[in-house]
Amino acid sequence: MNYVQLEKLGEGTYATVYKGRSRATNEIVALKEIHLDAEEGTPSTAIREISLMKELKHVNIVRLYDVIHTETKLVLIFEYCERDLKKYMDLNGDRGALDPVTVRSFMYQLLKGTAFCHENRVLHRDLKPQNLLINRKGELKLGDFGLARAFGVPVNTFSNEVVTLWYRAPDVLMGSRTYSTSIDIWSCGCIFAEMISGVPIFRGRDNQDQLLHIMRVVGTPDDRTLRKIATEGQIDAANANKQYPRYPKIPFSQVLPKASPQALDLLERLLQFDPSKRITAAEALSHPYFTGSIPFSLPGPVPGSMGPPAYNFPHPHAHQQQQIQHQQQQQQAQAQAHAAYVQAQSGMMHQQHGQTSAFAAQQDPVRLAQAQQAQAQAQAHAQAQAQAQAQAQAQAMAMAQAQAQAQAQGQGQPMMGYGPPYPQQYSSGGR
Amino acid sequence: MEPPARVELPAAFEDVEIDILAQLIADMMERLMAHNDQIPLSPESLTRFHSRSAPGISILDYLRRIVKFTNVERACLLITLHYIDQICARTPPFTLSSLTCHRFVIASIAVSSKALCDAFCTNSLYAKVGGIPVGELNLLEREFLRMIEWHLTCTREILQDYYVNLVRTHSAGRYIIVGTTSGSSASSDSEMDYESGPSRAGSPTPVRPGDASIILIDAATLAPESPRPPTVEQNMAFAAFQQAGRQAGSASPA
Repeated sequence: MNYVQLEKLGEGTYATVYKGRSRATNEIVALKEIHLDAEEGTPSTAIREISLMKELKHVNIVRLYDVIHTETKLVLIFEYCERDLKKYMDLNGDRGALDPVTVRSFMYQLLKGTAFCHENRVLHRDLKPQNLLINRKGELKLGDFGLARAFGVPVNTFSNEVVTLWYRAPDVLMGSRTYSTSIDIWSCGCIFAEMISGVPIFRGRDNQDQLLHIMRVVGTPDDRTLRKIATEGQIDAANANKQYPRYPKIPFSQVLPKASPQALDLLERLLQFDPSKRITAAEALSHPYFTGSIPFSLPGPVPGSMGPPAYNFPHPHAHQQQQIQHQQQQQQAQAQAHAAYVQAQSGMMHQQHGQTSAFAAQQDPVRLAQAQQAQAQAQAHAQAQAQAQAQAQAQAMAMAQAQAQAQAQGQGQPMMGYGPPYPQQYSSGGR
Repeated sequence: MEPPARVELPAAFEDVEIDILAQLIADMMERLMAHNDQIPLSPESLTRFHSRSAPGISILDYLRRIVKFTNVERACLLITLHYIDQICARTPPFTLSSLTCHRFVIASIAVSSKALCDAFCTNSLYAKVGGIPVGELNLLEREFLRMIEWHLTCTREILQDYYVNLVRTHSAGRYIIVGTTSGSSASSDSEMDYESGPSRAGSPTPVRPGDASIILIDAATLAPESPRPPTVEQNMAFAAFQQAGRQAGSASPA
């Protein structure tokens, strides 16, 4: 084998993951070793994981480098990531809760990776913090495609035994077998809420209990919606006419008091009970939460510290340009449209990509007036002049903001990507 | 044998009766086999898929057996043709012949069901239905995945193209698709866009047998490879194969 096997990183249901090093390049990799059953041959989870991940090459998806397939075992060689999001939250969060800058960066990357899967007609079907890997650069990557499937080829058998219970969409809990990309969006919403608060938002014991947990927050939908989901989902007659307790909707601002209005608005759109009303990953990426700036009048120490996602991505999505118009319409409807925010948006109209639009927001005079460090300002000016260096500067700005925030809040915890290196005694389980 | 009236088939492959789909695919495979059986066998073209002699069951009956016992999906049946094209393009010496077809088909069905469907059978069952030991199926599966380089997904449009082509080139010319609009783009995004199944441009001219399954190779994923000399394993297998040929008459399993 061209890889040296190092320490064990974790043990999953059907595989053991080791740290490894390439003999040729000395690069550190993750080796996922799958034992082959003499009776069953190659497990379907491995077949899916390999065939799908071979096609999905994106910064926000764990890269599959190589496959070694022998008679007794199958070894998948993956890009190495230090830890999963669950561990990251435990170690770096405030009782699990991440700071708004990190939440926004991770959420952006999560949606970016998810949008790429969906564009390539792949459903992940098991998005949860344990399956999102974070490397030391602070890049978030979707991993574990063992439950994933391509939806480009029509087949009749769709299982509703998918997604870890707490992240499972209500339509799937009701028995739907015709779900599509919206199933992953629900999981994204659950992860979003969990990053903000530090705890999973819906923690049911079983299928029914999970559904009730959801209804207690988002409210029980009206009968028409329930019937529609039941009939569209080809749900068995036994489940179709089920009666549910009538719960009123609790505003997400009550559930997540720390979240900004824009974060809450995005969450609302992700966690729609009716799958047809859920926002798509592509649309979500153009949401004002990512493109706009923060109004002054917010309570608490958070405002002003929300930087752009600290990482820029080489694959800007074409859809973002199309989204701008749609987004503007949305904005007009929103009472919370703030002057500074509108200004930032109009700046965005002159930009080519969503990537640069984040800078437009940054250059907004109102934001600059908030006077971070003088250094950051100087860089913002240089940015306007030298587009070519934009990427490095965005990171520098985010760093400056992160530091400013840490000072303001007196928080000693390291910020993503800029803190001290990870402890050596690290093991990334849960894969 | 030949009823004069043409049988009308639905525009979308998802709606066609599965037995008719099996007939269409078997017809195509028979034509491929008849063509490829004329190519003399050489040591370097021997693969794990070669049986010592042609199995005693027709490919149509073999497919029907698979349909009956494994509840295989239409997409998995059709994608076998795509896999044939992919593997023939990637591994040039491989051809679908009466010696390779059966073992290729059962390996393909096992792999495609596991890759594409949420409900599939165990390899033990696929092996039983296919008439080979499970250990042998596992080997074939591994060889199959290596040859196709794990490229197991495809799109509805490609499968639909195969379906339209199967009907158009069927040897008895017995079938006709109703309600097709020709010339529509194959890049339609809608999964529900059944009625506008894309058809190949041009009139349905008869196609030479060997050409029947030539279309639709994903050239972007092909790695050009120079022809390799036969391996020791292939040489030994070839010798054993020739010897078995001399002791003719004994029927071997598929």
